Amino acid sequence: MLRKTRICLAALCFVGITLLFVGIGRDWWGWLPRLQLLPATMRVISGATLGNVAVLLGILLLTLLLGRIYCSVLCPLGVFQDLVIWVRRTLGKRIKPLRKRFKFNKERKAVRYIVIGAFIGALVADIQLIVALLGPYSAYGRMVSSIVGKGAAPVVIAACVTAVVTVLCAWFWGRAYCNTICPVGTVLGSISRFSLLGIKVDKDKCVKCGACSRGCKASCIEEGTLRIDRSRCVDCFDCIDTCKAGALGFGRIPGQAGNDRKAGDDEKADAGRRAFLNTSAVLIAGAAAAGIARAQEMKVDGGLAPVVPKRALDRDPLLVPPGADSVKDFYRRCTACQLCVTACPNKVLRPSTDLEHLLQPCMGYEKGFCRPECTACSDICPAGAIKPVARDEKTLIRIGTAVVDAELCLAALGEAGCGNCERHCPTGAISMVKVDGKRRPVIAEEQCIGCGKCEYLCPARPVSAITVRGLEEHIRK
Amino acid sequence: MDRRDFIKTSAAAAAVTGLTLHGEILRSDEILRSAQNDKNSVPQHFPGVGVLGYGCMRWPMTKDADGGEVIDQEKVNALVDEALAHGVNYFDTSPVYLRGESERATAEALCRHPRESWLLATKLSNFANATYENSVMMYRRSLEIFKTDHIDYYLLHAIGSAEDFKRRFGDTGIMDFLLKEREKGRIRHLGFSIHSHKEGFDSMMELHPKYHWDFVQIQMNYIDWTHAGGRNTNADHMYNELTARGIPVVIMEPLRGGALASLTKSQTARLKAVEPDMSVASWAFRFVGSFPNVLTALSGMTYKEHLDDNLKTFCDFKPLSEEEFAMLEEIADEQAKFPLVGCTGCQYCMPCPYGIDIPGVFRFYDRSVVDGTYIKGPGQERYARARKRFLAEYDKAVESVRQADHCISCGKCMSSCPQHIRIPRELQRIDKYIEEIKQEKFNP
Repeated sequence: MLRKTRICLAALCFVGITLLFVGIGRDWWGWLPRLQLLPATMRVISGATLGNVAVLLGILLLTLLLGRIYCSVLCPLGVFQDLVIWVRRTLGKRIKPLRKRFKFNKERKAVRYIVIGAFIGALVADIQLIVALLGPYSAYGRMVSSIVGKGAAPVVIAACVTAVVTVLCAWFWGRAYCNTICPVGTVLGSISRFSLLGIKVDKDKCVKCGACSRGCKASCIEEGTLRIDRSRCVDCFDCIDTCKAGALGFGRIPGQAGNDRKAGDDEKADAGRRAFLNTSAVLIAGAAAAGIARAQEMKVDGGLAPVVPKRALDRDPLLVPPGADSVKDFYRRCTACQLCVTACPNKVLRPSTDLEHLLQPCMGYEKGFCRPECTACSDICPAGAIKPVARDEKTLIRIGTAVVDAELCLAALGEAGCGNCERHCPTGAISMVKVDGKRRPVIAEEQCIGCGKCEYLCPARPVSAITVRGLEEHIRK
Repeated sequence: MDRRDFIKTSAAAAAVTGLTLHGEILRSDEILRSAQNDKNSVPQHFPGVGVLGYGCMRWPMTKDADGGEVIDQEKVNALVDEALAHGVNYFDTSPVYLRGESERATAEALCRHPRESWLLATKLSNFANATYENSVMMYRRSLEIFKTDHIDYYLLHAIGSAEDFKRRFGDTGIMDFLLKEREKGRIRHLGFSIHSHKEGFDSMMELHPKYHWDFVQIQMNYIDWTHAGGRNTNADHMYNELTARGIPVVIMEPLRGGALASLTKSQTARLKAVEPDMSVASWAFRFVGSFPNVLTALSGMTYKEHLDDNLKTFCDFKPLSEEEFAMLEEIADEQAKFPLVGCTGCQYCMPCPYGIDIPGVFRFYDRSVVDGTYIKGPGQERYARARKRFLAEYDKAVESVRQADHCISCGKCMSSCPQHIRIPRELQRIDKYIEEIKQEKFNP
């Protein structure tokens, strides 16, 4: 019964989160990622609101009460590994060479502590790449977004590595990844060691067959002594169903009541204040430049003129979405789960390719602009890197300022009676004026919110004559 | 009596038999048929010319090895073969169609058949360079491409006004050349196609005694009959004027760029109640086919389905009854009230130097208006869903970098539009409308 409940709940969460990464159901189960531990921690680290703290405490308390139920139900990477294990078990029933049982292993404490040490070190030192690589939820997100074709090369590579490692680990050693490498597993494990409820063995009923131990994907039931390493037990309840003698059950562990030490977690909270280096990003995308229709004796009909793609720009300061508050804040909290990249309907967010923010998203207006009515990324971000923004306040947040390069402007060059930027500016910040006898756009800085509509719609290619620079700190009007 | 004389006398005869309310329309027993006189061929109003003609402006396209768009020659050959087998023998092309490739592709398909089995209509499309030399070169190149010593129907392409005629033909000396070519029999029939206001058309009629137009190509369908709109001349005026002068009429845009193949739900239901098994498009062809002075009605049949459907309409042709005629006029009245752009997708405006897919945007918009999928406002039924769908369809119909918002109003397209659509203004109107839908800010 417990096992079936676990499977049902896990299936719901897993399918929900997977669909989100595919781009379905943001309005219905967009809250699911908010229950993820690492993003929740990032939210609390700088900017603890009651809701954020409640989620984090909720997960920790749940673990203290029931053990690592989180790892078997909420964590998508954990459930993904359970799927791999299920496939192996199912195939093993039919194909003999694949038949393999698990066996008890000792806890690899050294590896666990080295990894968690490195992870916390990375958090403190702001090496977001390591944080992003190790975070289980983000790792899963990258896998799905790569499959649905939303990932850039680094994301796809990272996703492939994660996929290979987790699938191999799961196939041969069950939940070994979760119990040795995963930092979330280590943190929750150190709490669940002291959980109030857990798997317990009724030694009077036990016939010492060893089935529970051989079936345990977490390799945490020692055969013979029947000691259970509850720092590694993920509450899958498989053993309860496996035991023919009915000797295993879930219940109160004697001698644990009242013990609520939370090792490891405090360390994480310490990671809060850090220095941040912001050097300019180096983003160069090759843009195939093709010449526009050559002069002809005979103007022929039809066809589409080639449109030279816009080149991704080095922006200094970087652009980050409304709701991020500041560039620094954004990159500090983001766990690179790619959910915002998947959610962005305007092709504004994409995975960064520069080393400092590898795997984390970056923003540019080459393929679209940050639409005034859209709040998709801020609605979905589970890590608080992009905080919720109401639709009405969207156009009141200044995230950047437009800058004009008159040498590229078709109107200033006298090539066309253009005024597309002025016509489309949602805040009326642009006006076409005559400077030295040439028409060109000028920007009212305080009115400009940096949405990028002007840059996107500028006919100058591959670099727009009007481009947006980010603001280190966003300004609310 | 050669064919030209025959055409003239028969058309004159049609003219004197009297114009009824809408000009003369055919009775079913009047339909002339080709030699076979079977139901496997399209009928002929003038001997030797199938009343369904092939417009070679919309040949099927495919991708070449480099991913570029090219004409799908294999399909063109198959279409041409099938057309000829059913008496569709008039092929209308131009040196500028399909990025200048239409003549070559059409020639390749036609030259597989004996020269006397097809009629070639092509045009002097000297828009960009109207000098005498360039015009002669263009004419000679057409002869060369079709490996022939004569062109059956040669048109001065798309006369826009009296001034336009003077600039490109009247003042350049090319008319004398063309008249001589006609005398020598290298041009069998000389005429023009026209997209103009009424004064422009009338001025061309005044030139008839001087040049003796053998035929004229006009835009005619049940909308343009009395609702041409804008700067265009109603087709009833042009048809009746031409018939009175005994000049046979070639019809272009009988479907108005495909617009008359898909009507509103209620209009479709009305037509289907009368002819449940005939397509919506068939009505547009029956309309033009019912006029006796129509030499041929051109249809740009891109797919085999188009050709088959038109053959079905024409091979067993039923002229419109008075009631049916009246019904189509009512539908035209309704259509004329829609805020349509009225683009026929001829691509003359293309390529836009800024990459905008002008006909694509207009087609999407007009289609949404006629289909009723356009967004009226938050009050409408299933608004959220309809809005989402509408916007998704727009992105699907037109790539985002080619949408209306990228138009900078340079106006380079304006002069080439035969429908005289004020393209930048219409693109801006559509852009504004779509932006309203995106932001959900509707002006009541």
